Amino acid sequence: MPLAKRSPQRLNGPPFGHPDYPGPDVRTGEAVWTFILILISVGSIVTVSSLSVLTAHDPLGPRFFPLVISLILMGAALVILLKPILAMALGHPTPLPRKPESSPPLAGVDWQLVKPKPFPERPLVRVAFMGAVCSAYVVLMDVVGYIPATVLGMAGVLLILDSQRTRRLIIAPAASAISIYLLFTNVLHVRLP
Amino acid sequence: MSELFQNLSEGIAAASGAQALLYLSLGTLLGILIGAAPGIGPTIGMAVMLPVAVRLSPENAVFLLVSITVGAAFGNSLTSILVGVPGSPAALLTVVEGHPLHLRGEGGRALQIALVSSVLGQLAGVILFIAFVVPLANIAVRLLLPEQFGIVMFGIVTAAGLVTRSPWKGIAAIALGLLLAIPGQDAITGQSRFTFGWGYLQSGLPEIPVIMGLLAFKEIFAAAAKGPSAFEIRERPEFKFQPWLPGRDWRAITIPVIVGTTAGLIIGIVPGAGAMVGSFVAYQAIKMLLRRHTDWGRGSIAGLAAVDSAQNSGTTGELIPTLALGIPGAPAMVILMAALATQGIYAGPQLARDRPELLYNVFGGLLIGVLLLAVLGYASISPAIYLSTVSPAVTMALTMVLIVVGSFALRWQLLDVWMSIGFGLLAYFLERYGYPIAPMALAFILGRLLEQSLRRGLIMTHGWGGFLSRPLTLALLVVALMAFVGGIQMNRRMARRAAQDSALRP
Repeated sequence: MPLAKRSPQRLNGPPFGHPDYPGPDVRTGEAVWTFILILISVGSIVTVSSLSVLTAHDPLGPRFFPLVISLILMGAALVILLKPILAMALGHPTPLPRKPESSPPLAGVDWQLVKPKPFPERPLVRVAFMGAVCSAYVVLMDVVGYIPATVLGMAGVLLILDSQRTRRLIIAPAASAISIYLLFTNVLHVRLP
Repeated sequence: MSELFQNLSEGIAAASGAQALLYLSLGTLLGILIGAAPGIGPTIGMAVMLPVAVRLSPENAVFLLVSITVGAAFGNSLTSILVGVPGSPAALLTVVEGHPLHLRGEGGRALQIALVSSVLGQLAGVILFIAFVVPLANIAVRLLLPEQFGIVMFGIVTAAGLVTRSPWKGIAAIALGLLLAIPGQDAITGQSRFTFGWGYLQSGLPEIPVIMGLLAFKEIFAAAAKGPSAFEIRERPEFKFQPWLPGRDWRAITIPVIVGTTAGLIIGIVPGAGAMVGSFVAYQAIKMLLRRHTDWGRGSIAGLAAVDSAQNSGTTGELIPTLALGIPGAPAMVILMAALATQGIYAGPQLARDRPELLYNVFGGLLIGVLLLAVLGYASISPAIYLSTVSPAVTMALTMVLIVVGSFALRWQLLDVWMSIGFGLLAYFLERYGYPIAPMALAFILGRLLEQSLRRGLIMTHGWGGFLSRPLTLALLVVALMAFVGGIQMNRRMARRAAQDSALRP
């Protein structure tokens, strides 16, 4: 399918925030992470209760601050979690949480009708994949050394961020790895693996 | 006053040395290129230069890191004007007013206005920085522990109020950041807290890898979530280079630069507010002042000048609470404080008392930095434009590598890199669902100071009655609460106005 006529500013797909931009159920994700914060605060309260009691010269002791902070965290997270539920029960549904936008939507900008297939397709899977690539990069750095690990690490990142251009998967990583190594070790005198 | 001038001239002499000039120039140039490159902001730029900065003298470390933020503000303007894509949220209004100028063939003029406004804003910011930071530090050093608690609480809470529209998420983010500051040995009793028997946590979570994860690695995961649908600019923008500004443009931008510089500096001083809020306030102020102008949103040079001067004076304003009070003025300042801390120098009131020569050298460096911004900004327009057309995917991949290098090279521990990745993932998911990360990072850095000032302050005042009855402490806590509530309301109002202004763009 031929590409649409290009305007000076071109996008590879619908920008973030566009109605066609694929995104997960934001409310479910918010609830999950808020629950995780509640678990963190509960764990913190349980852990801190094992600390020693007050001493005469220190009226608060080492337990007070973490305990108060954990209770504040738990309270705020409970409000966030329960507010939409309470609102729906009272017949006043709250709007969906705002999606974080790292760049504003551009008005009147033409974008390609053919959407490139991202790899992987789902955003959260791409995030998990990116985490795996970064972790593998760290492990490989210790095993095979800086330059080979960097070539593979950058190739992995480029595969996720720009799966259309296979030339970049080799040229850019190799050039960058060697340049960075020479710059940091010879010019800036920072040791690398 | 004569002592100030004498100290200042010694500072300028120190900053004129070959090494100082090298790091000032390198930082400014790097900052311009980082600001112009898609996907990288000054925070990431400072983070990746951190392993270099910690090996320099304290003055050279400050010169390198601060000049990156100064250069990046101008670099942002380049891509905002010529490409129409803001390098950071602070440059959004530069797109609104600068890009239409480029579209009607006046890109060179817009660039000159941006450069002149940036330099003048920076100069004014530096002069006021020099005037305020030592007196403020001298006042702060006399404050006792309860007042110190009030100031730190004010800094953290205000920062949260200014960057979020949900008060509960702001509170949760602050609480989580304070909780992250707790692991390690308690400073007063020596007890281990939240270490779970792990030696790595005995001295607490490592500050720099955690900050790099929260502020820099998070962007890598955010880019992954966007995937190939991120913007890709294919053509290098054409523009006619204009070597100087005509007299009528100088007259037209005088008042906007004054307004922008003042707004940027005042807002920049407030911890957490930063250049973005300053540029929005400056824009609204100049629109109110010049109501008869009709070209707002369609290439107003007054708007462009106000916004760009506010951005640059704001970045200098952020230094004031950072160096004078030890409260980071913006997330990027956290990295500066961390760099000084690795050398045993702690930003705050004691800096003026114990290391005044460092402060005066910084003053001298900033003044020279203004000149370097003018020269290097002029010279780097073309290379910066070339860099702005590089694919964001390539710059992001490079950023990932540099952040990993940065996290590893500090202590040569792979565990630090794992920390960065882990906190980057945490920050990405929390920010995705509306939790503000910058206040969390601030709370993490200041958490120990907050707790110690509270506990030692209570020991000093023999209880809560004495602690809270101190007028300045109580006033700071009340103002902090008002700033939190007011900041959230202002944030909501500005988001509505920003949406309206974006809709005005051609």
